[in-house]
Amino acid sequence: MTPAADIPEDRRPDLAKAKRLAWWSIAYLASAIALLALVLGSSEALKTAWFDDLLSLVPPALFLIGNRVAARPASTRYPFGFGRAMSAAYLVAATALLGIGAYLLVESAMKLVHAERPSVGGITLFGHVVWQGWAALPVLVWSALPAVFLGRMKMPLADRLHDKVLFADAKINQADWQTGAAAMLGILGVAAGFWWADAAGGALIALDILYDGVLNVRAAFNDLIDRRPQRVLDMKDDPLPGELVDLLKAQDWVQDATVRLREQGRQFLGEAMVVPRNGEALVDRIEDAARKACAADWRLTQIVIMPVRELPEEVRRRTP
Amino acid sequence: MALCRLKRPGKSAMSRKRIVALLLVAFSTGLAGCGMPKDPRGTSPVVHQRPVRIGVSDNPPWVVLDDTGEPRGVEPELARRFAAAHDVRVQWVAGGEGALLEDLHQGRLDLVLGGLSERTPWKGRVGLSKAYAQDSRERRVWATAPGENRWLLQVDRFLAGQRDAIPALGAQRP
Repeated sequence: MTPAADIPEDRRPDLAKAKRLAWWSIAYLASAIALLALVLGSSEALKTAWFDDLLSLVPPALFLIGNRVAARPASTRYPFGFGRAMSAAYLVAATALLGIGAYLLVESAMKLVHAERPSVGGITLFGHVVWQGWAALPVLVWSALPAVFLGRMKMPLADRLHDKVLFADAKINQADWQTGAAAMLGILGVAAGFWWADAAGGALIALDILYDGVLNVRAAFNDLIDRRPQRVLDMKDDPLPGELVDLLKAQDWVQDATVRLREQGRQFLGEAMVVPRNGEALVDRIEDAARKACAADWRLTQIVIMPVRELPEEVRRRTP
Repeated sequence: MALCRLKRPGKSAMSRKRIVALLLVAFSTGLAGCGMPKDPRGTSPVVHQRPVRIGVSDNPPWVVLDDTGEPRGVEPELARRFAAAHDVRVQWVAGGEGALLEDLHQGRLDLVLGGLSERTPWKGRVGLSKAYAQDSRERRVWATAPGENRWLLQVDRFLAGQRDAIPALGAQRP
């Protein structure tokens, strides 16, 4: 995470807005979870939809907590700071997503295999006994629709802040309409006498959760094994490493250069090796180059430039 | 959570959402009036005007079986009122709880009474009504054939309507 102080002025309102949206998400999801708990009964589709909402609490919580933890300054005990804490938490959360998705999928499949029929009876609302399935429908609409709008608002912020956790949160929110639709179709199927519709709906939602788990585990994993930076929205390789190589080579005192960058939360950290034409004023020249590099992109918060006599072969091979 | 959408939702995604939403609204309002929810095996005795097959397992004071052959207790009393209200006869089947619930699971019975606990391990394999009474230990429910939701709704409606009669029968309301 880039501490708030390291985010340029023009992006601070984005961070503030993202934090507000995270709080709103948590409050809204809590309401959906409470309502779903009242109507879920023995329906597998409703139960998986409930789990889905429960899991959706994790990304905004991670975002808020991560912002605080990663912003702590480096200490003698933690000389590299706390930026990695967020990546580790992200991996744990993504793995939990994967595990729960797999479990729910197996559970739904077993219900189909054993031909377990969901029994959904009446529930007393405002003095009348109505079928629990009908009561579940508006609850499902509430659990799906506002989430889509929340997700839409978060997307551009995730891009501007270069925040992968916020992006994952936005994707999950935006796709909630599919969860709601699958659960509603499950209930309507049961109402029409198709008992298998409930477990089928549950299986579809579980498949969704599983797929999201896989994507997020991959992203968190890549972060932790120092993959070169990727853009947030389309996940293509970020062009910054190549741009920095060009910037360094453009200095008249540089003969050759190579750069490698990695992501740590919202920050880019990196190392560059340069082959200077001669040894004059090396310290000043290197400091000047480092300043220019940092000025090139707000996400780059640390770059170490090393003068070498010649670039090693293996380094040359991986230069972007 | 769902499939990864790398593009922002464009016009085509929005129309697809709209169509699904409209279909769901149409279905919900349409089906609500069409005799939904249905019984997949079509068993509701009330609907078919046939005798209700009720399994009874001895469990005083909820169900009391003696030599007379006519079950007594809180639950059989309520069941007679239910049958009278819907103008159907009752066919009692006495037996052990496990055997009766197995028959219920297979669809050979419509209802099983035995002072069943809300937390019975048969939950999921048979349908359970909402708790209609309680005592110091458990909340009590009736068991119905699994997945027969129209029937279960009728049972739940009846039991909810009997709330005021429960204390008179010697039991506590939930």
